[in-house]
Amino acid sequence: MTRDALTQQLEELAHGASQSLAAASTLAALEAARVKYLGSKSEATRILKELPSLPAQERAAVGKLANDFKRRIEEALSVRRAALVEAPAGPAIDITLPGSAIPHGRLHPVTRMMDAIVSLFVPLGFEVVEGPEVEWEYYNFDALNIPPDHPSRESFDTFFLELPSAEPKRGRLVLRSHTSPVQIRVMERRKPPLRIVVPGKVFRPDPLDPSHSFMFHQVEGLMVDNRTSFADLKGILDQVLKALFGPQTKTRFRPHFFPFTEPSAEVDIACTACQGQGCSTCQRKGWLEIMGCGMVHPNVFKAVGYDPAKVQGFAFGMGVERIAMLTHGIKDIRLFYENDLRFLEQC
Amino acid sequence: MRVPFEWLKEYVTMRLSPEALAERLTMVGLEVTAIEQVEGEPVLNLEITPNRADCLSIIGVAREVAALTSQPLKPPSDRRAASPGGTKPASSRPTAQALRAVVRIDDRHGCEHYIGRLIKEVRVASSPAWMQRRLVACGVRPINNVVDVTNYVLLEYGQPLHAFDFDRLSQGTLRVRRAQAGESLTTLDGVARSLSADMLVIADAAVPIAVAGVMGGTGSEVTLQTRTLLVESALFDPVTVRRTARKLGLASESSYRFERGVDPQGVETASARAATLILELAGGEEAACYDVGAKPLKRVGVLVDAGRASRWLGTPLSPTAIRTILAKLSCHVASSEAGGALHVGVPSFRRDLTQEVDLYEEVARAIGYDRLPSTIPIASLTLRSAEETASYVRAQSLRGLCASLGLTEAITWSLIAADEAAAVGCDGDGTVRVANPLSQDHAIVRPSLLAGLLQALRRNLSRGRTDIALFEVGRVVRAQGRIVPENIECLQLGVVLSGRWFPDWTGGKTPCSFWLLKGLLSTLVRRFCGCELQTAHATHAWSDSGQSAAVYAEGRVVGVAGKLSRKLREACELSQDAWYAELAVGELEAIRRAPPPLLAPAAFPPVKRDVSIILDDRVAFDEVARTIREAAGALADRIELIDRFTGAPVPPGKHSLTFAIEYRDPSRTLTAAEADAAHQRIAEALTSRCGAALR
Repeated sequence: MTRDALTQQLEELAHGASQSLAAASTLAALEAARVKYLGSKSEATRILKELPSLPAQERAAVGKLANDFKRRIEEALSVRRAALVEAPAGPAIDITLPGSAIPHGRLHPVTRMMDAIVSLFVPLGFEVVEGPEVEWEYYNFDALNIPPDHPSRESFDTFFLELPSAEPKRGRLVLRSHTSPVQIRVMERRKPPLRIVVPGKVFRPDPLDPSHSFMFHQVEGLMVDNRTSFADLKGILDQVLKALFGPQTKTRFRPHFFPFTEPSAEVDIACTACQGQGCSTCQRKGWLEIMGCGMVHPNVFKAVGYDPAKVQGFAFGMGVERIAMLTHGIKDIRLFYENDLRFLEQC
Repeated sequence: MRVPFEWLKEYVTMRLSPEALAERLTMVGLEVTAIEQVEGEPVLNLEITPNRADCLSIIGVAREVAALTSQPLKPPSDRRAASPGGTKPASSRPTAQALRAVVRIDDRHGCEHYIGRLIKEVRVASSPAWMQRRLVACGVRPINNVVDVTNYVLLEYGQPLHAFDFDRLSQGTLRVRRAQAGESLTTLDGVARSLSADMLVIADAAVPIAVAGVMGGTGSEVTLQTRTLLVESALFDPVTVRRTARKLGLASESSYRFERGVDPQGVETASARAATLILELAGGEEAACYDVGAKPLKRVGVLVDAGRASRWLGTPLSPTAIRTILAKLSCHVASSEAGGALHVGVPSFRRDLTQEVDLYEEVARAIGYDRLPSTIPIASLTLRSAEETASYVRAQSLRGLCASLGLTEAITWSLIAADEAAAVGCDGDGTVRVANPLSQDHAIVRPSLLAGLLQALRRNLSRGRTDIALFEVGRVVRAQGRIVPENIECLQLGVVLSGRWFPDWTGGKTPCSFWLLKGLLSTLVRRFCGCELQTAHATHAWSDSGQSAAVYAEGRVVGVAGKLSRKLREACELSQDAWYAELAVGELEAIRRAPPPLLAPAAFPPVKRDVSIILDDRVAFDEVARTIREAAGALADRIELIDRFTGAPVPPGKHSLTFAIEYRDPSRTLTAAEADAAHQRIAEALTSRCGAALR
C-alpha cells in the first residue's frame, strides 16, 4: 500500500472512530469502540504491522502517522471515558426498597441469656461444665445434704423416672431438679482448687402458669479452694449482677436456707421496674429475688471425699428464664416454650 | 406463718412499726412476704425456711425479735400464775373420784415423750373474742374453747396439742402405737382413712383414735357435751409423722411442725400453758397429769473457732464478738479447755444448730449480711479450663452455626405426650416414662426432638406463618444398654423446614425441599466437622419411603433426614409439606477433624468445559459424580452440577444434567488439547457406565 493510501485510510478511520466514540453512551460501548479501533485485531494495528513491509524511507513517516492516529484516538477515548464516568448514571433507583432477604436465624432468648451469664464467669477463670439431665437421686439430693424424709426435700419436688436403676446404691433416676448435682460430679473426680459454672436444663413438677414452668434453665457456680470466703461470694455476685442489670444495680444479701450451703443467702436486686419504690413486678417489695447462694456445706465436702477442715468455698445458682424475663420485660414464662417465630425473631 | 403484730408485742417490747419490723425480719432470714390487715390489725406473713422450725410460733418469732433488738423476751409463764396442775412433771395424781387413765408409749421410736393431762368437769363453749380474733388472724377457724386453746398454744409455742373427749375412750386407755393392718379411722376432716402398719397412732384400748402428730379422729372429738378431757402434748418422730402425712395425703399445722422438729423442752411448757388456759376459759379441775418417757435433755455442744469463722466469712471476728452474738441468741458459750475455740451449748429449740458452720451463719445473720465485707477472691490460675469448657463451647458454636445459616432456635418441651411419641414412631422399647407426671401431655421423656419441633411447626402454621426454618439442640433419652445417665442421654440437633426459604421481592422464592435441607446439613457438617456429608435412602416411621435418608459422614451414620409423611401431616393437621432432620451431636463430635493445612491458590489458569447429558431417572447422581471423578483423573480440579432439567424436550423417565468442569494442572498451564482429551474420557465413561446420552 502506498503512503497516500495509508494516510487516507487512517484519516477515514479517525473519522469513524471519533463518531463511534461520540456515540458510545456507556462504558461498555466505549470499550467496544476501543477494541474496534485500537484492539489487536483493529485496522490501525494491522497497518502498524505492515510497517516493516514499507520502503525504508516511508516507514518513519507512516509510523508517525499511525502513532499520531493512535494518540488522538486514545486522547478522545480518555476524554469520552471521563465524560461518561461523570455523566448521570441513568434514572435514580428506589434505594428505599428493602434489601434482598439474606438467610439468618436467631438464637433462643434463653440460650442467649444463659451464654451471657456464663460469659461473665469465663474471663474470671471459671470452667464451663455440663452434666446429665437424667440424674441419680443420690446426686440430686443425698450428696447435697438433702436426706430422705427431710422437709428440705420439699423445696425440690422432683420428677422420678420409671427406669430400673443399674446402681441401686445411688437410688432412683430422676430428672434433675437443679444443676447442683454437677458440683458433686465435678468434685468427685477433681481436687480443689475449682472454679466452675454449670449451665443447664432442670425440671420441677410445677404446673404451667405465667411464672412457673416444669422445665427451665439454671446457671450454677462453684468456687472451692482453701481461702474463698463469704465476703468473696458477695464481691463476685455483686459484680456479676451489675454486669447483667447495669452498673447502678443495687444488690442485697439476706439469710436463707439451702441444705447444701451454710451460711446460705438469697440475693435481691432493687426492682428494675420501679427502682425499689414498690410495684406489681416486685409485689410491692421494692426488691426482686434473683438467686440463691452460700458457702458450701461441710457435709457436701464430706460426701465427695474432701477434708472439710481444709477446703472452703461458695456455690450459687440462678434461674435463667427469670433473669431473661426481667431484662426483656417478659410477663409470661410460657412464651419461651411456645416457639412462636414472632416472639423468637425479636432476639 | 402468720404473725399478728399485737400478739407479737405481748412477748417483746418494741417500738418498730410493722413495716420496719418486716424489713428487719427479712434481713435476718425470716422473710416477710406481705403485711395484711385483719380487722384493722396488721398481720405479718412470714416465710419460714425448713431449718427454722423454732420460728413456727409467735414466741419463736418474738425470741428472734428480742435478740435482734436486744430486748428481753416476756414469755407468758412469767406473767401468769402457775396452773393448779403445776408446771413440774407429775407422774400421776389420782383424785378423790379415782378418775384414772392409762397412758402408755408402746412405740418409743415414734414417740419419745408424752404428757397427758386429765381435766374434769369442763364446760365446753365458745372461746372469748380476744382468742377468736387471734386465731382468725392466724388463719385458724375457732371451734370451741377447748379446741381453740390447743390451737392457740400451738400458735403461741409451736407445740402441737390435741384434746380428747376422755369419756369416749375405751377403758380410759391411751396408747401410742403403730397401726395394725386393716385398722381405719375417720379423721376430723370427715374422711375415713385406712391405716397401714408403719403409721403411728394414738389408740384407746380398742381402736385408733388419732393419727399421731397429724390429726385427731371424730370418735374422740371434743364436743359441747364433753365433760372430761385428756390433753395431749407429745414429741413425735419427725420422719414417722412426715411419712404418715404423705401417705395419707393429709397435712396439718401439727404435722408441719412435727416434721420440722419441735422443741423437746417445749412439750411440758405447752402442756402446762394449755391446762392453765383451759381451766381459765372452760373451768374444771386438773385431775391428773401423766408424763411418760421424759428424758433429761442433752444439750447439743459445738466448738466454734474464731479464726476459722473469720476465714469462712471473710471478716475478722474476735472470740468476744462471737460470744456476745451467740449469747444473745440464747446459746450458752464457754471457752473450751482446748484454748481459742468457744464451747457453745445450743438451746433446745434450735435443733438446726448442730455444726460449727451453723453457728457461723448465726454470727453472720446477727452482724447482718449487708454489713459483712464484699471482696474479690484471689485465686490461682489454671490451665485446665479449656478442656472442661470445650464441649460447651462446641455446642454453642453449633447453635451459632445453625443460626448463621438461617435457622431460628426453638426450645421445646423435654417431656411430651405418649401419643406424640407414637405419632412419630418413637414409642418403642427405649421410651422412658415419668413416674409422677404433671399431666399426660408431659408424661414421657422425649426420645427424639421431632415431636417438639413438629408442635412448634404446627403452632407457627396455625398462626399464619408459612415460611418456617427452626432448629433445636437438646438432649433426648432412650433407655438402652446399661441404665446410667451418661448412657441413656444424648444431645441431638433437630431441623425442621417448611414453606419458602427467605423469599423476597428481588426474586428469592426458593421453596423448601429435601435438597435445601441437605444443603444446610452439608454446610453444617463441613463447617462443624470438617468433612463431607453423604446420604443413602432409608425409611423412617415419620417419612414416606423414597423421600428420606440416612445421613452419613466418615462412614458413620450421624442422623436422619427426610420429608414428613403424608400420614403424619394428616395426623398433625399440617397445612403444608415439611422436611425434618435430626443429627446426633455426639457423632458429629466424634468425626470432627483437625482443620487441614491451607493451600495457596493454584497459580495456573484452568480450562473450563461443560458437559450436558440425558440420563435415565433410575441412575443416582452419586454414581454419575463418581464416574466423572474417576474418568477425569487428577486433571479435573472442580466438578460442579450447574443444572438439572426434566420435561420436554427431555423424554419422560429421563432427566438432563449439566456439569461445569474445570481442568487444571497445578504445575503448568494446561493446553486445550489435554483438557479436551480428559473431557472426552468423561463423555465416554458417562455413556458406557451410566447409559448417558450426550446433549
